[in-house]
Amino acid sequence: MDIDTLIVELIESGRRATEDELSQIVAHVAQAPFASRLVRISPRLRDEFAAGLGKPVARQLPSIEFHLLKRIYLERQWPVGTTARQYVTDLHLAVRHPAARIWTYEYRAEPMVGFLAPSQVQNAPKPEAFVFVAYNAHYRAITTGFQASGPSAIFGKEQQRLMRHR
Amino acid sequence: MNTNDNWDLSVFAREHIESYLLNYKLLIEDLPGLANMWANMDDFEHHHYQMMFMQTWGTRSTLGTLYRAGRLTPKQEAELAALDDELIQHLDEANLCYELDLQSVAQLFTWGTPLAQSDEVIRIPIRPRTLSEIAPALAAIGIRHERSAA
Repeated sequence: MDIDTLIVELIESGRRATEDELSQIVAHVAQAPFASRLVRISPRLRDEFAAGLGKPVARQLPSIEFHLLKRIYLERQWPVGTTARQYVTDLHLAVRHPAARIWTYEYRAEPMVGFLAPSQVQNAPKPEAFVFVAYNAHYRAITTGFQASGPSAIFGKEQQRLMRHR
Repeated sequence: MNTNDNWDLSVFAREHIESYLLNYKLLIEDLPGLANMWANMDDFEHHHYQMMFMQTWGTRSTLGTLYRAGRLTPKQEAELAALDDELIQHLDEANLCYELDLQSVAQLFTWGTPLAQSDEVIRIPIRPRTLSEIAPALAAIGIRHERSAA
């Protein structure tokens, strides 16, 4: 079965993944791209990013660049100079981390897998204990990745059909 | 939010709190503009912004815990109260973009908000059709109160 179909099936059935299925999901997401479709940026956020970068920012950016600028200049969770490739490598490392906790859930009807692993991000000005990575099986891409203090700062009543697999 | 993890609140430096407040502030300030553009955005862009919201809503719950633990300065408490008030005033836009409803913003008062100390009147914009959706839950609370009082 296709891994994205498996993720949807796990969410819809509410069953726990087998060890083998979990290994396949980890391997799949650990090489998945970060979404790169263009998204609009508000004038206020553009100003924040431009102040950090020291140059103007376009009205639209690929989603991954938007996330990276926010992580670097607004939240200071990744050091200045981090490239998109390094950012995604850090997210993939979190997905593969042996201590990563893994959940499937729906968020606003989107089929998601979330990974929460101890942060290994180096030289972050404002580090947190964990890195959270969310993969969307519909878009077949990682659609967010950030540092977080723990599950309490991520999961609430907005996540439906939440199932922890590990 | 799920509270299964035990928190050491001392790990939250003042800079973290400032960062959480800034994220929350930007989310609320951008709401009217985002709501105006919402109909012209595709499904992926909606998802992108909902992912941003998920992160900020999570740290808003953390701010509530920190507030209740007395970890916010008076200035930070005042800012949090003003932001919560502003979010409630923009509930209609927050509902459109983030599917936040009255029950969702009620979480602010369970997580912890300095707004709960205020005697000022706040205005909550709400569409009557959503009231009819939550009326059964509110009525059930009323019935429980009546029974416990009897």
